[in-house]
Order: sequence, then C-alpha cells, then structure tokens
Amino acid sequence: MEGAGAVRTDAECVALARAGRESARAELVARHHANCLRFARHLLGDDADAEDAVQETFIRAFAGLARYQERDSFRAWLFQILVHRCRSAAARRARHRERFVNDEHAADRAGVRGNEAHVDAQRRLASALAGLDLEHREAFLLKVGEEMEYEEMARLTGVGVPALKMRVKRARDHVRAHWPGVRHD
Amino acid sequence: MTEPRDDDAHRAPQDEHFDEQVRTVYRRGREGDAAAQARVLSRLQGAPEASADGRARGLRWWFSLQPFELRPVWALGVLAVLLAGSAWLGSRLAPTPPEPAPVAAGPDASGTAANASGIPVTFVLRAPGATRVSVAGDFNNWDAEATPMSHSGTGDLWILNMRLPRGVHRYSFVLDGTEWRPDPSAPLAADETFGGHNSVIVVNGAKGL
Repeated sequence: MEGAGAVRTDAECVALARAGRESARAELVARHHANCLRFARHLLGDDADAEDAVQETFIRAFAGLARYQERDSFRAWLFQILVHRCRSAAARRARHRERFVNDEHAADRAGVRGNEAHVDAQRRLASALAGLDLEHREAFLLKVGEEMEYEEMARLTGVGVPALKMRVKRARDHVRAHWPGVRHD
Repeated sequence: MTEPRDDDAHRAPQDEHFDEQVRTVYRRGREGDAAAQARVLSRLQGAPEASADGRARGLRWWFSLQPFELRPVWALGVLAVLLAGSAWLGSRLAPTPPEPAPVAAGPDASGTAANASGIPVTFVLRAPGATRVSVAGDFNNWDAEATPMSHSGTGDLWILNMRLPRGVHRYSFVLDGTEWRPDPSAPLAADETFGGHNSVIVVNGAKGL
C-alpha cells in the first residue's frame, strides 16, 4: 500500500521489489548504499574494490530476494551478502600478492579525499585499520562502525559470539595504539 | 537514546568513548558517494527483476565475456584432460554393438525412464517436529514455498518426487518456511553468496550415485 507521504518500511519495499517495482529497488538502494559502501571501503581499504563489492551485493540481493526471510532485517540480509563479497575480493587481492600492510599508502588506496580535517582523520583511521587482518577488521567495523549486536554479527559472519568478542577487543586495542592523535582518556 | 544492549553491558567507559570517536570518522561520507550509488542503480537496471527466475541471468552470463584466471601449470593439466577426452571420444565413436538406453535417474532415483521433462528424483528428509518442509534450489529459483514435500504419514519422514533436468543442481531443505537445512545424505558445496552450505545433486541418468 502506498499512502500519500507515507514512508515505506524496508519490508514493504522488499515486497514491491519482489513484484518488480523499480522504484522500490531504488528506494532500498538509496537507504542502504552509503552504509554498505563505507563498510566495504574500510574493510577492503580500496575504493574500487569496495564499489565493486557493493554493486555485486545489491545485484545478488535483488536477484535472490526469494531467499530473503523477513525475520532478518533487510540491512542484515545485505550485510550478510556484502561480508562474503568483501571476503572474496580480499582473497582475490591476496592471490595477486597485494596484501594489507600498515604503510603510508593505505589511505591513498582507500581514496580518501575532501575536507582537509576530515581527510586527515580518515587517513589516520585507514592506516590504523590497515594493520589488522581481515577477520579482525571485519568484526571491529561491524561492531564499532555499524553498531551491530554480537548475535546478529554471528548470524551474518558465521563466526561464534565468543570469537567475535575477542576479535573486537583485539582490534580495538590495535586501533587505539595505532591511531595517532586520538585522545586516550 | 537506546538502552544498553547485553553485549555492551561490560564495555568500559573509555572503550565507549573511543568507539564513538571511531564511529564519527567512520561515518563521514566522501566525494563520489552519490556517483557510486548512481552506478549501482544503473547496473540494477540492466539486471533481471527479482521476480524473474534465474534463467535470464544464466543466459546473459553464457553470452557475455567472462574473465577468468588460469595458472600455466593448470593449463597443462586442462590440455592433458582434453587430449585424454578426445582419445576416449574417438574410441567411443568407433563402431560398437548397441547398448541399452540409460534408464535410471540421479541420486535417489526412482528407476523409471528419463523423458523430455527431466529425470525423476526423490528427496527424503527426516525432520522431527517440522510442520512443513519444502525444497528450494536453483531449479525453482530458491523459492522456499514453491516445492513442498509431503509427510510420509508415519514417523518424521518428508518425501518429494519430482523431475529435474540433467546436470548439477544445488538445493536445500526449508523447514517451517524459515530454517534452511542442507541434505544430510548429499554432498555439500559452499554458498559463496550467503555463506554456509547447500547440498548438491548430480542428475545424470546413470544408475545410483
């Protein structure tokens, strides 16, 4: 149902998208694209890889809407796909001998541009994240960046809650130690 | 303001403050985000509708250029397999006495003859406590409602007889519309889109597995 001025829920958009409504797909993209892109960027540390992973995520999500269960939020459904696309992208890169290392080029690969102060902060964060391996970075970004609950993270990553908690703790300690300029109070 | 969640209850105040600092930087948008979103929409306009089955996508894949990587050593292996296959095919094409037509189906075949509509196969699952069970796979566009199984009437067995085209199919059982469970009696393949595993059935018209 489309009431005048009414904001559709994700579930309503999904139902319309299943029926082939183009505007409903566009609405879901508009709502979730920015979150997906920032997660993929910080996880992969590369703008181009991140954009590819996000594009593939939306294409697979809409092609597989029949498998979407409404007991999960559409955001969780998207992130489940996105996490796997990012893992595949990282594995592809690893095969090409291009590894995530803690170096001064990490922020450049991440394509950080724009406001100078913001750029500086994002560069430093990208550099700190680049020193983590993928599984720690993934857990840290889902928990701290996306504020997901551990149970939800476990469902979409396939990793147990105790392991996720340990990864988040270790990652937090690492980022805290390698994020120059942050106040350690 | 939301109430503290269980998993955050024991987070130290300094951690909360640190996380907030990270989040502030993490959530800043960047130049080019809107263009990236537009590119997603553009690609989606060329993608099949969600309600369409997977055949459109599959056909497009077969007729488009697909990049792939192959290590030289594997290329030699592929070449060896091709040569062996050619030799085998050559021997098969030599005049031989006629053989009986293939009569059986793939795994769990019912043994009836294959015809143009597919090979008969039987899915069986023991599912204690389930009120409804269905099969979802690439053959029904992973629709959890499209292909219900029948309760055997005794015990916890659910059964489905259907016909499938020759080839390799991935599938999963769906219990009560929500729980996706692989077939315990079939081989598994990783599901690279959603994680976890699906079951695999090879429908080849040969007897048995």
